[in-house]
Amino acid sequence: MPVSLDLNNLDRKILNNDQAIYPELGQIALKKLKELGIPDKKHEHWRYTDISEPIQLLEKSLSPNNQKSSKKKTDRNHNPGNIDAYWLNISDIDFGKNKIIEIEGYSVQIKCLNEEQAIKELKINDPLGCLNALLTQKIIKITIPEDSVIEAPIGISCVEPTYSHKYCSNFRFIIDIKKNSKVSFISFYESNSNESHFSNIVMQINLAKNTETEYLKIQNLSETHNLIDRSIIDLGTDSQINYTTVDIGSKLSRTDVEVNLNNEKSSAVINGVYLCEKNQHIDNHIWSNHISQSTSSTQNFYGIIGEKGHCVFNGKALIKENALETEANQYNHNILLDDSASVDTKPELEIYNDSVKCSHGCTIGQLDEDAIFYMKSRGIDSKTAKSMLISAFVKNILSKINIETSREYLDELISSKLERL
Amino acid sequence: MLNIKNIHTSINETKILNGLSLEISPGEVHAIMGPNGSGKSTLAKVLAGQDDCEVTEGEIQYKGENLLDLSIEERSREGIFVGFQYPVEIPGLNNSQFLRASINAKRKHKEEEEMSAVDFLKLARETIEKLEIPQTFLNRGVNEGFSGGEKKRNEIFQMTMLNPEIAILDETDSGLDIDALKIVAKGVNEFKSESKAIILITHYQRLLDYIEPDYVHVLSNGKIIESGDKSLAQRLEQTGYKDDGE
Ligand SMILES: Nc1ncnc2c1ncn2[C@@H]1O[C@H](COP(=O)(O)OP(=O)(O)OP(=O)(O)O)[C@@H](O)[C@H]1O
Ligand SMILES: [Mg+2]
Repeated sequence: MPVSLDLNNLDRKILNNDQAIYPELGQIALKKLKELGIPDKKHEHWRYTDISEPIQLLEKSLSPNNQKSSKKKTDRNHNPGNIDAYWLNISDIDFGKNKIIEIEGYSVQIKCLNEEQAIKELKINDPLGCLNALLTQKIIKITIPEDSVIEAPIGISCVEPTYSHKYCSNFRFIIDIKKNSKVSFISFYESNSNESHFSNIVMQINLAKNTETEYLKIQNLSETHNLIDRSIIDLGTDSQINYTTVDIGSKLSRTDVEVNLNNEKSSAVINGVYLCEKNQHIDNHIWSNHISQSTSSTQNFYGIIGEKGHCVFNGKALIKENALETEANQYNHNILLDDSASVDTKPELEIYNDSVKCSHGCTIGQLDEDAIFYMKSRGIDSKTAKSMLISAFVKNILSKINIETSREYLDELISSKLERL
Repeated sequence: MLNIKNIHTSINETKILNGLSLEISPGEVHAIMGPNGSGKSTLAKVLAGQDDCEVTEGEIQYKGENLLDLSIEERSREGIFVGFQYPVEIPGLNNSQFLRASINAKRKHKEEEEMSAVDFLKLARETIEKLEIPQTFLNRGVNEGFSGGEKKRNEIFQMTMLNPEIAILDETDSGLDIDALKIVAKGVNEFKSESKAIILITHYQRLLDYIEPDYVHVLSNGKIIESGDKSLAQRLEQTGYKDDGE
């Protein structure tokens, strides 16, 4: 199906409208979008992922009666999955306002950016990011002050479509971690309706010098929801991030992670688990851009694909001339549970200097029949055996998540999904 | 207890077992010897219920029931344990998680209460100590990166934990150093009782020095061609199978 969105009409529809929230930013984004175009299957990065439904939903959301923001607000004490974290209540924070919350004695600032601030801070470099900037309802910036060591994770919960437009929501978060800090985040996506929806989310994560960040994304949207989630991670000297995306639900879920290793001795681990079934489509595109020397990046994605599921992995490491003594690894392992399951996987390297250590590989296989026989011969039934094997497989990634309080929830989430696979 | 009557099996249409019969009663230890490729492991797999060993003729009675009607997992829960010649590695699956699932599958089948994690750990630690197995075995992946001898010891560990009624041990002695052999033999001898039966598949008399068999059988070309007492094993050690068709 061709992707159609009339760009010429958008400024009239969105920006020349007294409800426009960020009209100037919108103009900038629209100009860029016109250069880039709405991606279709001819775009290299969108070859395997058809976004005509998300775009249709976006278009539908532009019709005048859907412009008003729903008045429904999230439950103040909403605590997804009973995970112990400081869950931020985004709906509380109004345009241009800011709020300080004390977490373990540190003053974390949460701010809804005004237009001037937004224009200064936003990174807009891809079509979906342009659409996000053009349509965004809220740009939330979370600032972690210098020298903060916060044990408990900070939670960002997106319950779709509670505090957003019908059909489509566009949020942008900027997480700014000042130097010498250590902090962890959970971003959580779930649905509270079965109506078709498209969430177009951008996360900008800036790590200053000597910081350590743990980031966990849990996506458990309903089977009628589409998510395109783009993270842009900029790493300062001696900073490190351990990012994990866990994709369970949704109809279509696309995760883009752009990691910019701009400064010396920065390192990024980008991991992912996906459990995909019944016509679901899960796509992970990861770019590690090694700009500076002594940087390292690892991408490790493990997927289970059931009946009629389709997954995509594209992991790329770009290593520039000056990025000497760089290490880059990319791995993608898939288990197909059914003949109708499929995956398109492609780890890529682009290297412009000689002092690099790289490795990459991908596997596509089935559950080990010999292992299943062995387990059965010890009294374990076939279904249990399979789910134990799958759990063991995804544990390769889950065991690397350093957020203790999420463990129980993730185990339950995964075993309940396995019941269905 | 186990009565194998004239079974014929084929794997991918190649005949492997050719009219094999064997009767085993509680309290007995049977040793099965025989040249490579004669069908010893195939017999073990048939008893375990592996799908690709199709039984085309004959029958197997176990505790008065038709064994071939039972699924692989039911056989285990009903007390059959096969220690495999080549135990499978299952990377990432925790050994103790695996064993506990296995024990509890059996308990559930017997309508017994599940074994708690605490009780399991206690039993596992005691067993491990008795078998002189490193404690680290419990937290490693099932046979993951285990040496040949370690895998065999892990089979004996599983056998002891599951406490079956009949154990079929396929070359559990191969690849063991002399100390490990003594430990494995000790484990098997402790398991041995009036009510249990053991089938030892082996190439070596030395195992039979530690675990005394009541009967020794020679398997060749898919059937038992000779049976005797332990002196048969001693004779074979000297003369080999050459008279027996190899
Ligand atoms: N999957 C298979 N496909 C074809 N032939 C097979 C298969 N499995 C076993 N065989 C054959 O069946 C015969 C018996 O094998 P089996 O493993 O039972 O021998 P064995 O007596 O245990 O030998 P060893 O002493 O070497 O362990 C062999 O000739 C073997 O090649
Ligand atoms: Mg054999």
